Amino acid sequence: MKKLVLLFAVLCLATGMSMALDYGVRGGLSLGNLALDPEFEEWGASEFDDVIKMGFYGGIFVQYPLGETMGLMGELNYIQKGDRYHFEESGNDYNYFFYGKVLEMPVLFYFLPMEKMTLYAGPVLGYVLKGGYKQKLAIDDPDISQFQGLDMNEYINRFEFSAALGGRYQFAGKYFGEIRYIYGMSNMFKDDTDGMLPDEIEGKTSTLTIGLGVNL
Amino acid sequence: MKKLFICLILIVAAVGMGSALDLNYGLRTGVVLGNMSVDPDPTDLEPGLEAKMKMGFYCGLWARHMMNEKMGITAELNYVEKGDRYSEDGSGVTMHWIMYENVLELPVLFTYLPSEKFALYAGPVLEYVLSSGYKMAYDVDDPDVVEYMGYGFGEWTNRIGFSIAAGVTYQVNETFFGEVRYTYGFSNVIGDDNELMPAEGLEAIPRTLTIGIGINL
Repeated sequence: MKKLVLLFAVLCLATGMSMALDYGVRGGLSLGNLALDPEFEEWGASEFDDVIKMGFYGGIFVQYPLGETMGLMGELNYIQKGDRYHFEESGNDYNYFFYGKVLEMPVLFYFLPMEKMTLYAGPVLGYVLKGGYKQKLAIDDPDISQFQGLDMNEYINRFEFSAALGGRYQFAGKYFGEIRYIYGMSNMFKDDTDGMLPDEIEGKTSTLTIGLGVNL
Repeated sequence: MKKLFICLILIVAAVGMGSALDLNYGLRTGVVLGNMSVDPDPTDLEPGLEAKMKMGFYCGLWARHMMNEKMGITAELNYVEKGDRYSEDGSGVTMHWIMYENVLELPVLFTYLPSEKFALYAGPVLEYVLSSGYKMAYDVDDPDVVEYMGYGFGEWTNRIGFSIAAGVTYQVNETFFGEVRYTYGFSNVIGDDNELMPAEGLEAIPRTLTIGIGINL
């Protein structure tokens, strides 16, 4: 399944590239958040603060112009989404992570309001390669950490649907800086997780990415 | 956070210098097939264990200065996920014992171009270990989940390492190239005072094969 999705995506992009369209690569940081319902604080862990989970993204894109100032953009990205809950006590650093490592295929409508700037928005189909949770305890002395977690393969909804919105700023010819917000609309977890997570739990990703790209 | 910042500054500096000196430069990425020479060998200690490869990911920047038509020097800054995996099959569950080491690599590679499309290179690699540790993972069939637990070695890591690398790139077209590289480590990643490892005086030295693609910018 995983391979099929990947193959399909690669084929689409290869077609795009062979049509001599503009293409390039992009990469950067992802700042992850997860809208949980019921909220994590209500699970009996009220001392935890909701903080951002840092991750990484990388991908390729092709552009298909529809006119001088607009067009369509197809992408294939790997992105680390998720969320982190944090609590510190007497030198001990407790972290609770939710993570989703997602293969994303956005189709974005773009618009160029001026020469160096691109704005875009569109739907995103995602395939969750790996998802689960992890607990990590970092100790001060000795400076080591201990972790345990679970990849919830069977209890993950593999397909994810989101909407993305962002902008690019072109510099030094072929390079650009980029900011994007990806709002997840589907629940990452299955309704019944056999008691691994609270019943009927809902987790929707929302991710901010900041990065660089190159037109090739 | 601090590390990321340093990383970003290094990248910007490298790109800036590359364009100022009129160097060739670009990006590279791909998969890492990780292995470690672990002494004493875990397969001796636990007869059921089988030595496997640990898959990982690498990415980085390179810049090349040609001294003449055939020879040059390539400097790089890479992030590489090294490590090793030992597995044991049980009924309905596979147990993995994984050593991991996430490394920032600074190779300086002597490059030789025997033909237009090929480049051969070899050279020393200076390494900074960002994080290392080990992990036990239980891959269960029913329900289909993977339960894991482990330790990050933190201060019990030997942060600075040294390796040598040799490899080849093949230019597919003007922009893209394919690449295979072997990195042979000399340094033990586990610190002498490490109290987390099951055996005392355990040594783990990375041996890494990377296969990937790159682009010329």
